[in-house]
Amino acid sequence: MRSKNSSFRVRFPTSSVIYALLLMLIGVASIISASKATQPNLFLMQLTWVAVATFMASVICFFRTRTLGLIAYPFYVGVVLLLLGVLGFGVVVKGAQRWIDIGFMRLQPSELAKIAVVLATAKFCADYEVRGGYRLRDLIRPLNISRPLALIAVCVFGLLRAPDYFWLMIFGFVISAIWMLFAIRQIGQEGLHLYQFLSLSDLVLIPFLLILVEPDLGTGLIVLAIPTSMILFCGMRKSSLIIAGLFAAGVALVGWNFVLKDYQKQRVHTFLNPEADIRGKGYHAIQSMIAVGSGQLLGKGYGEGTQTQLSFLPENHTDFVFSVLAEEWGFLGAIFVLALFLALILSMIQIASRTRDRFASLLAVGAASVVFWHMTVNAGMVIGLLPVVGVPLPFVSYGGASMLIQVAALAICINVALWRKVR
Amino acid sequence: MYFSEKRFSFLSLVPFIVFFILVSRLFYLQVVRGDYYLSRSESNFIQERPISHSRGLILDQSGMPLVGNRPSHDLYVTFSLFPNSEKTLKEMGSVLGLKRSEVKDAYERLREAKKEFVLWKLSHSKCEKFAGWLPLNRIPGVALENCRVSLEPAEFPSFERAIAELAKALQLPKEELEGYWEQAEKKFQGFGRYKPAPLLGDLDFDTYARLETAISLGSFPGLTLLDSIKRRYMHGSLAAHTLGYLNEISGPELVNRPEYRQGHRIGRRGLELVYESALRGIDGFERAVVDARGRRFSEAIEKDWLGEDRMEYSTPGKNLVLSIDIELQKAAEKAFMGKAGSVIALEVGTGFILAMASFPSYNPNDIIARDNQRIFDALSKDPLKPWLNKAIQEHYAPGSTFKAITAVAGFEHGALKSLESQKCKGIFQIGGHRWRCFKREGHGEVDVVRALKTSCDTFFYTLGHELGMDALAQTARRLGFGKKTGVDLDVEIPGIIPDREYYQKRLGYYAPGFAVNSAIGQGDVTVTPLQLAVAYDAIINGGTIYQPQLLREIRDVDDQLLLQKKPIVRDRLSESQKSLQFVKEGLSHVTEKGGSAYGLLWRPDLPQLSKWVRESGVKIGGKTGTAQVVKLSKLVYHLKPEEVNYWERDHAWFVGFAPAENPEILVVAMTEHGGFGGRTSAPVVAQVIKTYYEKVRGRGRYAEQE
Repeated sequence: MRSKNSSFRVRFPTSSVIYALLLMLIGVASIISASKATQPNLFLMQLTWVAVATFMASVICFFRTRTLGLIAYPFYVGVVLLLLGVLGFGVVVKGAQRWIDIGFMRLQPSELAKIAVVLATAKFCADYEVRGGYRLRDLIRPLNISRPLALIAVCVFGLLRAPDYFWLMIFGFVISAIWMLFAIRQIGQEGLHLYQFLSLSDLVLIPFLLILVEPDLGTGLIVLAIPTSMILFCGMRKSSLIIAGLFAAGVALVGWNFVLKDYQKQRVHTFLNPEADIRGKGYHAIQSMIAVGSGQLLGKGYGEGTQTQLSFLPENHTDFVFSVLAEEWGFLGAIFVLALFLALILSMIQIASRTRDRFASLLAVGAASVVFWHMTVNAGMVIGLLPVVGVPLPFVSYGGASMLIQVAALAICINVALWRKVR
Repeated sequence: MYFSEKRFSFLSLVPFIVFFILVSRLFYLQVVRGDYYLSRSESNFIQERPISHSRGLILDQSGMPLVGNRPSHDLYVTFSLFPNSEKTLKEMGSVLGLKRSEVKDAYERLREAKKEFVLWKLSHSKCEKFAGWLPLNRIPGVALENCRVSLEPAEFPSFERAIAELAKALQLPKEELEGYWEQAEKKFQGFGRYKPAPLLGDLDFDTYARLETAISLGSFPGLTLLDSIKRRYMHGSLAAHTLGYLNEISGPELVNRPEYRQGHRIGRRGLELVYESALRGIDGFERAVVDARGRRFSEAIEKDWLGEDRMEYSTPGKNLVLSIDIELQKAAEKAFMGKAGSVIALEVGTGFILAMASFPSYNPNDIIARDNQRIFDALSKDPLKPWLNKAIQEHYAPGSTFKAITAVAGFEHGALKSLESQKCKGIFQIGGHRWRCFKREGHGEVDVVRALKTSCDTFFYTLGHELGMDALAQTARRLGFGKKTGVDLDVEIPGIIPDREYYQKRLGYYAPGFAVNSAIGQGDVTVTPLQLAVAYDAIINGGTIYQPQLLREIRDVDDQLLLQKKPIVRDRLSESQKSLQFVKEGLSHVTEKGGSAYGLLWRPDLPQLSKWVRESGVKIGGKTGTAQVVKLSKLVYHLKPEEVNYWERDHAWFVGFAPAENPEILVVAMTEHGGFGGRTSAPVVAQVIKTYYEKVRGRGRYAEQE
């Protein structure tokens, strides 16, 4: 299809949309089965969310891809502010502060962050290109002017709150001054750009850390994994990759010992040995594996899964909907669903590969990685390969937030496909 | 294409790898381990609920039930489901997304409130949510109007009120109920809070009916009424020691017994213990479908899921037919005249025990009752040792009853040949030691028959001295003394038959005088009453020593004979029938004029019994025995038994059999500290024999009645 007066070739990615619609259909069917005894009208809610998400998708597709680039940073800043807001005055549920009550509904900024990092990272990487791939120094940018400024802020704060350390603070000011000189020199060499203030690593780590302290490890790791995949795809030097790998291992070690909360460690312990705590923390993991395993090759039949119907499987219409599928439709049903995901993700990658624009290509890769990481973490958790964290299965799990985010990712891809530049 | 093709191929590889890993894992879970997880899922929702079996009955030889079963209505509680206001508030709070402090505050307000009050005012969104949740969960005393949650404290479920109401329904003091509650809660911690825990057994019918109505109306969530089968000892303390009793199996005992479950009862003493495996049946079970909260589904759904054959019925235990006869047992227990002791009736020439009683006794129904600690303690403290079955678990000096054994030894070892007589001058002397006959003036010329009839001591002093210690001990052991009789009961003691070696070990020396003492059943000789019965049976049946038995038959619930016990011969005496005849002859004159139990014929306190003994034509043979407990000084020698301290009185024995010419029944009565044997023990024997003739003889046994 070509439109005469435009330099764009409009092509609708039918296959991606069909895969996604099939997954939604399977999701609604599973929700009906899982909730028929307790909340028989729940699937209507899900259908409502599908309708809302479709509307939102058409809005996203309405803009040119370039326009998405324009709103990337403002959207990112807005989400970071909301994340800060959650920490300030969020609603506490089950010991975690994840929601903001905005009257008619609860907003979960960490969900928005998944889309925000895709947009912001794509925009940043598109504008900031380093030949031969990024080095670590390009990711971290230690001479950015924001570093000495931050140090000055810390020292001022220190002077006010802890005057005992006066000389230390003074020493901090001296360091900041020298650091500032280097930073100004760097600006002189490279010119004044956004990346003089914010580096890629800042962009990725800020939302991750804000979500981590809510605390919500699962979402945090996904928000970290999505832009990381995009940066890796963008290209890094081998030597930098090795150093970054070693550094990540170090962080993981420190994180385990000093940062992770007990309940998070407990989850890892439970993951490694779920039978040790069968009625407590391991309950979800075990019941889910029993549900999946007992489905065997052909499944117990739609609406006949004992684990699901007799509510041995907890949260069976949300995070554990894949167990419902695997129990009632068996191995064949489960691989059919996984195959749909594989096809969807590959088709999204294909969209990325067909555009000549660096930003658009990265956007599509980012959108694909949103679906990919959710699917991987959720399926892995349900079948006992990964610890139990609250990550839903894209398009299938019940839930408005999840549905909106996944459809937004898909819509970004569709947008890229629709507004492709002609050669 | 902005990025290289190679990079995209590389990127596409990642989801392929993940897909491969996930599918392999699914294959492992669903195909390789599918059967395992299927069985795990089945054990999740299929609960096997046991159907208890009924334990076998214990019948007497005529088929009269001695031990039976009765239904018991028991009350169970599932702690996790029982009302608890704090828990309910928490549940409501979590639905509304309230903070912990808000729930705590609500709890405080509820505790102080006397009448209905507004608990929370809700925002519009919460209000809708709660309006959807409340009707599904139906919590009494909670109302929602205009987005206000109001609470009526008098109706809101609370632990204190629920338990107070339960106490009222049970008509128990609240403190007592709380005691039972704590006991049950201790056993059912953690996981157990989701299972029904036995709270109270044996509800009476009115309470049961009242509670059942209340539970079906939903007044007591978490309470369940279940029926079980309990043991009933039909005649209270009758034959208590022989029958034994049951109680609940303990945790450690369950380890190696897969067929037992928590709450099962296991035989602890007596026949209940010895024949546990026969009496015990097999529990059946019923498969039920439950959801994650343990709620059961309707029968229709269960049939649909599990098929028709979801019941496995229980197999009842087997019935025991004893050799005990209820009439003889009753007679023995009624006629006993002392405080402590035992009575045994034996079928002559078979070894079957017709009656076995021990005194003092207890009621096994009290022992297995709910609140048995007081009775248990009282029994354990009693100096008369009611726990012991004195027929087999206590040994005494046999006194003069042992003279018959000495006489048999005399014939066996050639010290006695026939009826040669010797003169009793009332005294026997070796060196400087003197032994007195109980009749100080002496019996004059006595042979073995007259010696047994009159219980002449001097005759047996002489015989014992001639025989010597070891010869006497040898014969006594052949007759079954000094070792367990092998009766089918749990604990038995062997008694003591001393020989030279025994004295060497005990005292470091042996003196010929020891044999003189042993010959009249004093010194260190001790026997159990059952041993004495078995030995006398051998003497009067012509020399066969039987293993005594209590069980005649085992029958299944349909009355099919599974096992019939035959008499078991342990040994046969080698001496001629003739010499045993002399001993038997001597024993058969005991109730004649001049015999040591002649007084039985003229008891002023037992005129009817004496009359029967005189006039029935049934001649009772036997032997009296008076065993000294302490050596009495010459000063107290002529005191009457009542004038001596109870614990220093002599033990009174009587072994009797009838008819004397061709004996059918043998009875041993042993009265601890009963004084003279002919006086306190002989009437008991006579009464049992009288009952045998009046009620048992010729009536036939269980098997023969049909």
